[in-house]
Amino acid sequence: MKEIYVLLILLLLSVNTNAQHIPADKQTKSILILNGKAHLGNGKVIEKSAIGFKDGKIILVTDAKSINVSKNSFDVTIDANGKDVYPGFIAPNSTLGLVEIDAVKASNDESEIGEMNPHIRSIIAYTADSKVVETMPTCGVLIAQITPRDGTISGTSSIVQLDAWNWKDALIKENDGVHLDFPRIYRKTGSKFEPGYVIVNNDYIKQIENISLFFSNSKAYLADESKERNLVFEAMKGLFEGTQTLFIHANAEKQIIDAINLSKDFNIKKMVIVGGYDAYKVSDLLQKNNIGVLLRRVHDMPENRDHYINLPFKMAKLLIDKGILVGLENSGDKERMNTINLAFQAGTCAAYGLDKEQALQLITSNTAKLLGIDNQCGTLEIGKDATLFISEGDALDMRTNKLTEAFIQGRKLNLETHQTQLYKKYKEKYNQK
Amino acid sequence: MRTTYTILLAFFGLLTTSNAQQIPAKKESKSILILNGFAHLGNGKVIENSAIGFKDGKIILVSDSKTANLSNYTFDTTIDATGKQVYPGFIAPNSTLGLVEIDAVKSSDDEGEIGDFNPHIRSIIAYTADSKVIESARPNGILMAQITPRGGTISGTSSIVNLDAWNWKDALIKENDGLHLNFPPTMKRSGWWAEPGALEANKEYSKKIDEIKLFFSDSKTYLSANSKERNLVLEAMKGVFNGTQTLFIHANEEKQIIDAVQLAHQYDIKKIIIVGGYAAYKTADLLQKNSIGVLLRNVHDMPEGDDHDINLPYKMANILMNKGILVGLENSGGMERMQTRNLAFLAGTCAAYGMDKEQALQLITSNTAKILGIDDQCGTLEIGKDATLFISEGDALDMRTNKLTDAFIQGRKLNLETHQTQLYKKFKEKYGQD
Repeated sequence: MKEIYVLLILLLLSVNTNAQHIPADKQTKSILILNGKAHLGNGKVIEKSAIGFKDGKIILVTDAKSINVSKNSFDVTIDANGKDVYPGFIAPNSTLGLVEIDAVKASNDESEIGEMNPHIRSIIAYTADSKVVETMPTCGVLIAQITPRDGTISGTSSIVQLDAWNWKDALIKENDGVHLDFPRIYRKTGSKFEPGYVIVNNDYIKQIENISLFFSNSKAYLADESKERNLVFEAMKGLFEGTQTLFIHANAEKQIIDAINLSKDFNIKKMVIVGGYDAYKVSDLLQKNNIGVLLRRVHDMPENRDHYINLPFKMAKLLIDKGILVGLENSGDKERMNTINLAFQAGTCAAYGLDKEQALQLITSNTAKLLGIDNQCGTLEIGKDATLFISEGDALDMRTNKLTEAFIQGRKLNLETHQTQLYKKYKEKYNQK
Repeated sequence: MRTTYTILLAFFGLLTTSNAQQIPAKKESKSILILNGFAHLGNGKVIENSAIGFKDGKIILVSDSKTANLSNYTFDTTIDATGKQVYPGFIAPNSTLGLVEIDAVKSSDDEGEIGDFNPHIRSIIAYTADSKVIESARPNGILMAQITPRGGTISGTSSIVNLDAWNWKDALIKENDGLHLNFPPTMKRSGWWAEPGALEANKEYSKKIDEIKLFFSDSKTYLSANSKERNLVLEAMKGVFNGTQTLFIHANEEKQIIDAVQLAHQYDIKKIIIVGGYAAYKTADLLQKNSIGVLLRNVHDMPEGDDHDINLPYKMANILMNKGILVGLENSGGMERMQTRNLAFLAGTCAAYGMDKEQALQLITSNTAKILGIDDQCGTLEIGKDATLFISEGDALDMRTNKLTDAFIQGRKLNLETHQTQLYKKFKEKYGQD
């Protein structure tokens, strides 16, 4: 009888975790996931795997048959027979947690006023308990790069895991990169609903000169030592030193070429093209300079009437075949809610030419490399974070992407969301008479 | 071991689903007895050690637990309320609960309709029963509300609901209980709320009243003739003329109230209630003579005139009650939906300024029920009425002791969790983690 009471009290406690989404407590146990088909994220697969982790790090990745895994050395064993194990997906160039309700202006922290804002660290506006963020782990997205929008230099992004109490808890890498919205050669007139003509942006040269001026001002400021402190220029330091990446948001061929030239002029070491619709046209240049691409949402229509209708679906393959490091990003319309579909974009790339494991890399190891967190995330390898999940089937296919368990740095996630709660609520309605 | 599992599964299933979100309680199949609570019946009477029983949603026993012969009844469940207080559910009249969910989101605002004369607008169809704001009113004892549209001269038709339902149809206590007339003000303030200007006479006043008269006579004409093209707007005035609906006249000034009463009499309108009624105490004799009740506006407010007693709003209910006028409290104004949960404390303030506590309780229970025409069903703890009541740890009109342990709407036991209690639990958990 005593043990019943103990269990009841435990259950009552567990009820609390259902009241609202509570970030998981630190994992004190070591866990072994046995017999799942492991997709390591680096292109390799282990059909019957044994994956173990402890203290938030992976300590075992092997074939379950090849070694004699002593179950006793792990506190908990999860049987993943017939299931698939994946490293957590990474959503780069994301505004998750920066806007809660689109219709409420006061809940929008997406951008800051001003044109050149390298000192804006969007991470401090990141709402870890957002109802939008909590839906992402249900489809395997466990990591995101929180990125500001607008202006010419939008600001500095940071990388977070998606189960935390606050932005400090969430951090994986603070201030990973600065985002430059490269000026456009063409611009569209009219509104969203009544699009007008595409016209030449007459200010293009002037805008690029502004960027050059800002870059050289920053360099001049940083070269000199003591004087009045300028936080804006100071925030450019990481780019010139190579500790931060310059994410250049550019889609047109000319933009990409101009952007690379500009960055080279200022000796910027790490560059990534974000968007990159025309990247396939300048792939040699990108490959030669070791510049990766975060490809814009591939579930999209081609930009021009004379483009192949499937071009966006094939782009990742075109670039990978040229030896370019490619990841997928998802900015655009309803980008926050749509982050949940990131895995299925990789699935589409797999349907249009890429190998499934290669497609998986687009949202795991490749993205981790582009964001500079590949020492910690992106693959199932010993020593890396135990940020992974178990799905009932292929996680790149929305029919079989059904998570049974997910872990972030070893902590077991609660996969309940506002939506599952409403589902339960209304299911109850029809149980009542 | 098997029974252990069964028990565990049952507990787990019940608790998790009821906590996931506020789920409206299902029909109560058991009969319940609340024993030894200090019962405030809502009609001015109290029973120190009460026995209150209900079954099938209706109260079947209200008695002194010492004198009652409880062996005549069988109850499935007994709740010991020793040291606690039992109250009938409070009623929030002239409320927009469920008509706006997030003030900052225009598309979630169904408060007002375009047009000036809208008797045909039935705000009840816009009522969001699963609103997060509504569930916050219940833990303070507010269990019923009159859902009322805003704006225009005739805002529309209100309906009365209970605050634990799946949808508006489930929620209904009385559909289309009354029509709301915003009587034109005699004085107008220039400027806007953040920078108020000077008071000026409303030059349109007479013209506006003529418009109302024209509309009333048009409606009467339409209703007296029989078959012709249907006009839903004029048809919606029927209840007011035949006495099945109440005309709620929103008016605060003395002149407004007098003109409004005369206008209503001119058109032979049988049931009239003044809503707001800041100057009602000045026309108390007129109101008393014509048996016109008052839903007094938010009493937690400053006096309107520079030369008014600073405590006038707190005392108003007492002044009117002493004149023999039926008074209830309403709560419209700034942040009215979120403030609904403070309704009980408005009555508490009236009690602090001259009224007897039980009289003050009537302001938000039986009096309001009478004013809204639902006193046959709600407002007091009496045999035959709805079992819409609650148990509080102490005096429910005092915010220090208004702590509900159980609440029932038509016998159904409410879940008193809210978004706020969930957040409280969530963040309590944070400090339990390392």
